[in-house]
Amino acid sequence: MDELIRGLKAGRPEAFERLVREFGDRIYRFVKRLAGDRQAEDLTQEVFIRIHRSIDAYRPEGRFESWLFAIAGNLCIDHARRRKPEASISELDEDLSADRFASSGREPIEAAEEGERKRALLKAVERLPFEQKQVFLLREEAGLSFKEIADMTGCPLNTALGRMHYAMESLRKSLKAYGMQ
Amino acid sequence: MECNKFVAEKIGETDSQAFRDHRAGCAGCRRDLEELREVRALYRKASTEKYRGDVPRVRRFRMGWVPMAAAAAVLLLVFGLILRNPAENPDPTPDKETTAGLYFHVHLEPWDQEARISAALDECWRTLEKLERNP
Repeated sequence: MDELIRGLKAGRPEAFERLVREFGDRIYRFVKRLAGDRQAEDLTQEVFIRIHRSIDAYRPEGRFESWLFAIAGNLCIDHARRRKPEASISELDEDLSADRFASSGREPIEAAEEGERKRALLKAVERLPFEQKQVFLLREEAGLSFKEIADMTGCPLNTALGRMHYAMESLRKSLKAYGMQ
Repeated sequence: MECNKFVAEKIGETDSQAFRDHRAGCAGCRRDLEELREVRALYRKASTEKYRGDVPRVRRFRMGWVPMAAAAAVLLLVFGLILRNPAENPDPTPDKETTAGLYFHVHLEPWDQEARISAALDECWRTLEKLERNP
C-alpha cells in the first residue's frame, strides 16, 4: 500500500491504474448504492479524480481505505444535494431487473429464487435512511471498522453500531416481507 | 430488556462471553444472530457489480527547482532584451496560435517608451512546454 501511495504522490500513471484496479469495484458499488443512481460510473471517475487532486493532503495516520471512502462519501453527499429527488428506486429496479443474478449450474427455480432474494435485498439497501446506509456500506463495501466509521461520520461509536443494527434489522424485515427468509 | 444490550454482538462486531451465556437460553437472540448473518452473507453474494468505466486520464505536472530556475532565467533574459531596446521591434505581429491574441502593452516609465510583450510571452510558453516534455 505504501508503494501505491508513493506512486500516486509522485504522479506515476501506473500507480493510478493500480488504484483503479484495486479499488474501482468497491468504490463503484459504494457510490452506486449510496448515491443510488445510474451516474455511478461518472461519480466513481470523479472520486478517482478527487483522489488524484488531493493525494498530497493524505497523511498516513489513518488507513488509506478510510481516506478513499471518505472522499467517495463526501462526493455522494454533494451529489445528493444537487440531484433531483426523483429517480433512484425506479432506476435501480430497472437496473436490477437484468438477469445478472441468474446463475448457471443450478436448478432454474432455485436460481430464480436466489436471484429474487438478492434483488429484494439490494432494493432494501437502496431504501435505507442515508445515515444507516452510509454505515452499512462503509462496513460491508469499504470494510472499515466501526471505530473508523464513527470517526469518519463524526458520530459516537455506539451510534455507528446502532445505525448498523437498525440497517440490518430493516433489511431482515424487508426480506421477510418478501417471504424469503 | 437484556437482549437489547448485545447490539455489537448481533451485528458481528464482537462476540462476548456474556452474549454466549445469554443466547444459550434465549431463542430470540439465537434467531436474530442467525438471520442477521444470513442478511450479511446474502448481501455479499448480491453485491458483485464491477466498475466498467475508464481509468480517468490524469497528469501531474511538477516542476523541480532546476527547470523552474531555467524558466525564470529565460523570462528575465527575454524581458531584459525588451527593456534594453524597446523600440527595436515596435510592432511585432502576435503569434495567435500560441498567445491566442493575448498581449500587453507596457509603458516603461524611465524611458517613456511603450513595449509590447506578446513575443516574450510566446517564448515563455514554448520554453515551459519544452521543459514539461523534457524536464
